[in-house]
Amino acid sequence: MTMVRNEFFQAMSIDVAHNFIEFLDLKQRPVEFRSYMNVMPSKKAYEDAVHYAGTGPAQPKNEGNPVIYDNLIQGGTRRYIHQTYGLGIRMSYELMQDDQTGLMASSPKSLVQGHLFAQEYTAANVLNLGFSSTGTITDDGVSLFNNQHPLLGGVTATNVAPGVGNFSTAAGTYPNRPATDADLSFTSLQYGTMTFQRMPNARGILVATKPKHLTIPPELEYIAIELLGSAGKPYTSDNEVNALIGAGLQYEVLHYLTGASPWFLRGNKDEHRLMFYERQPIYGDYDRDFDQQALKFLAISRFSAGADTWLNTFGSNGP
Amino acid sequence: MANPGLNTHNPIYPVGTISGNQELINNLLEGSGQTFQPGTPVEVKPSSTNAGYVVASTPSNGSTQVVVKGITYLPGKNLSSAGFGASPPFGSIGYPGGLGATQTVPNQPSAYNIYHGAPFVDGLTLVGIANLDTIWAVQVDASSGGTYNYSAVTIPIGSTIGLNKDTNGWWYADLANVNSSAYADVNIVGFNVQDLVAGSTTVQQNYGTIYVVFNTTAIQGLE
Repeated sequence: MTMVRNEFFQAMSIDVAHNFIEFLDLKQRPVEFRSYMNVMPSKKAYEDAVHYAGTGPAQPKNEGNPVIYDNLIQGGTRRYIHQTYGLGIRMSYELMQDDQTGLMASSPKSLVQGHLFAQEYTAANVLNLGFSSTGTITDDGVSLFNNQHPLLGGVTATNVAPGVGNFSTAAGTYPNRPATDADLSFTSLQYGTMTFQRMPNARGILVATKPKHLTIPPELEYIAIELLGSAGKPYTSDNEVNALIGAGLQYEVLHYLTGASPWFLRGNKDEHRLMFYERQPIYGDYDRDFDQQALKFLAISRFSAGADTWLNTFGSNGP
Repeated sequence: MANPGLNTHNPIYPVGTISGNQELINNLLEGSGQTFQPGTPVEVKPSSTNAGYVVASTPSNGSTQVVVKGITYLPGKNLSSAGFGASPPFGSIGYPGGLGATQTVPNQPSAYNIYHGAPFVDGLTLVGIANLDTIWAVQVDASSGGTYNYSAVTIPIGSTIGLNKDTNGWWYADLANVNSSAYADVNIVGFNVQDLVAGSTTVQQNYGTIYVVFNTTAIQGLE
């Protein structure tokens, strides 16, 4: 619908001390998703990611016997289909000409803010929907945060991986989520970091996995400060040192998380595969309807987000 | 009843609009188990299984007229559940996202391999909306056998004609059902002159193409 002067009659006036224009007067949040997602360009309708596993551990070879041969394993595919987002705004020739506030001329900034929000929310929904079997699914076919991720090497992998039995609740699987979701606490965070460090690859071989970042909603920020910043072990009077300080975790508040209690651990960006494909960065355009001379602005963008694999991630959906 | 002369037909496709704009297209959520051909009339199922989702229309049986929301431009993807793969608001298009996916990954029964180049699946089908503006090209045939060609003399422009489906699921304008209220699915607004018999200005060769606009009695929710 075309915006007209009578809808914005106040914008015709020059006798206003201040026009509080939200998309100009309110500070925008810094972009968050680029700090925790791997942002990649794309030139295709979709991007496919395929998972491959290497060989298992070396086998003993007895004298005179041949070596054992092993195979690499082709895993599943994760496809990212880009979604287009667009938003336009249209104003009459007269409104554009008579606006004394600059509101109309600067309205494309509002469109851009709408796109930035869509990008942030889509990226955060990889985590928000990561606990659901119909939400974020990784290449193994189960939810991003799952207490039984099936390993490509199957039971053989968990048979050989040292210590996985301390966390795995089913042979051939490994968790990156507690069997019972837990609130962020000293104990649960400790459990998460330990689960992380026992994380095997698909054949049961240990890899260098260590959580570096604790991602939380704003509601958990003060708890995170206490857990990661207290000199002594939090919430006790026994004068123990705070062992979590040695974990070297940095917390980051993600404002686009929907829940008040989920928390997440992840490695650095080169260690995990939380992906954001940018098919078309935010692009603006404008034109006029010839007959009406109405002015039209639009902004459009295309992107997709998801996770190839669960490795180097851990999540708990609160209690 | 005799079968139509052909067992496969061209898909129904838009050739223009009366307004001169691009035809109205919507992406509608596809029902489960749909295997329709491109160019198939589809409806939004009003109730029971697949209610609210797009399914293939059923040709008139002489008493119940066809119900058409539009013509789908894509084949049915035989989705395992209605709208499977559609993106929630600010979400991502669902897993696995591709047709022809096989579950052949060792030790991961829920994982898929998708052949590269396989059509993607987003739970939606592209539907050219049936309205009074869009002009569609439809191949003619006759379910009753006999005459398989359109003649502007015997079936003048402005006549109504029924739509029917062959054994392979492709739809055609049925010359056996002309100017019958139970089959008044579309109105003929023209025909493809390239199909005319050499030297004729009114009589097409067999299985020519006519141009039609949907009749309001067949349209589901006029847009």
